[in-house]
Amino acid sequence: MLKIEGLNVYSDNKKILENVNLEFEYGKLYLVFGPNGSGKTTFAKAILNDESLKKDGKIILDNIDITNEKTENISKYIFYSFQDSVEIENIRTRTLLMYILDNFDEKKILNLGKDLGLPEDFLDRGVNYNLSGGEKKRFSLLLSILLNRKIIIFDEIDSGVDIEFLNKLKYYLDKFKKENKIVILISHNLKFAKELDVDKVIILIDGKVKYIGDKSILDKIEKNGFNIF
Amino acid sequence: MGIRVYWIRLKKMDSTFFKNIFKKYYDKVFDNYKIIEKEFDINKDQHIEIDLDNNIYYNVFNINNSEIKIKINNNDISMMYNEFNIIGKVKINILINNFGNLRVYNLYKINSNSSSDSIEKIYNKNNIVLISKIFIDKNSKNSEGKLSQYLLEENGISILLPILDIENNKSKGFHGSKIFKLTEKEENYLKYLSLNKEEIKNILIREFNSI
Repeated sequence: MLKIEGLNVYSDNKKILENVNLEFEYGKLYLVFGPNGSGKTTFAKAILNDESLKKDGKIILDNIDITNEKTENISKYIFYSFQDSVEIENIRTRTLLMYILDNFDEKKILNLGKDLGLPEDFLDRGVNYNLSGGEKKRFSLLLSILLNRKIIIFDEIDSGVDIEFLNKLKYYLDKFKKENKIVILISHNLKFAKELDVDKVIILIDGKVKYIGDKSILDKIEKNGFNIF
Repeated sequence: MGIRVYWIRLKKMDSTFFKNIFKKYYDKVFDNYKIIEKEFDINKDQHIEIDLDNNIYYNVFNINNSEIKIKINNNDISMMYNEFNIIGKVKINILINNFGNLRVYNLYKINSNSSSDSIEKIYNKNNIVLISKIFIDKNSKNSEGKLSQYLLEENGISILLPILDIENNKSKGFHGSKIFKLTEKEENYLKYLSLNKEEIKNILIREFNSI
């Protein structure tokens, strides 16, 4: 279980998140929803102890306090898919994968890449280098599959992509749940979110959790916007 | 061998430029240095390794339709002039491992109907100034010179100055460079993929070595 207790997060001395208390269980899909600037990305990055953020409160993973653990250590258990993936020209994707994967099976990776719609030569390119926005999301999904972490956080992986990719994404979100992972999807895509087998919806507004519950809330938001909170 | 001989010799080797560029260092540091001159005639593929000491080195490489790999290791304060006279199709691959204070001038002189494809890889942990010039004179027709530079730096200061000096319009010169360095943003992204600073450095070195 991933537990967040009394989490306050600050960036440049500005309070971004206030008193967040949440629990995430294995084998469930969580949707984090909220307007722009509500603190969704900060919330995800705070879990991984991003060094640009200051925080207080506690983050407990399987009864171990990871609040102040280094990002590179936390990310051995939690995969965070960036909203805007960084392009790294100087490191080829092949080399990166050889370092971060326990078993580098090139044939399997190429097949998976092809299935997800990545360019044929993506292993020879720099990491995310010269990939389109949609291809970067595809590469993020590929990483989430290959890294096989127990917790996966997707930050707006469903924006700026085509319907074919959304179908693949839906398939893998279900698969991750069945594999007993905690899956957290940060999204703005109400239509897509409504199609998913979401276990809990968390609404974040102005850095505060305004709602934790089932996905029926999405219909109300669709109808009345976030003014209902 | 005295300084006088040194400058006479240099005059034959694009000396004015070399002298002017490094005069400051020469005056301060190199006055009492030995001058070591070598000339290589290369007609088949070769690998040459040069370990530098506190000296000034002049090397002339006359290369004819061959590939040459040169590894230069420096731990001291050294100065080096390399002149490559290119005939036919030539490949030059230079790796400089610099842990000291190094000044290098590479001059690639490309003759008529000749081409050179040169790669300079610089691994710098201290201080290096590298001037590399592709020179095709007005009488050398249908010549082509290509220079690619790759730099990997660890707490070092590197100044790389590539020069294309093409004196006729029937010849071509190309230059490209790449610095193996990551931005803070790139390093942060890799941390999210479970890599620590040491591992990130090792990956970069691996990529550099694979060129």
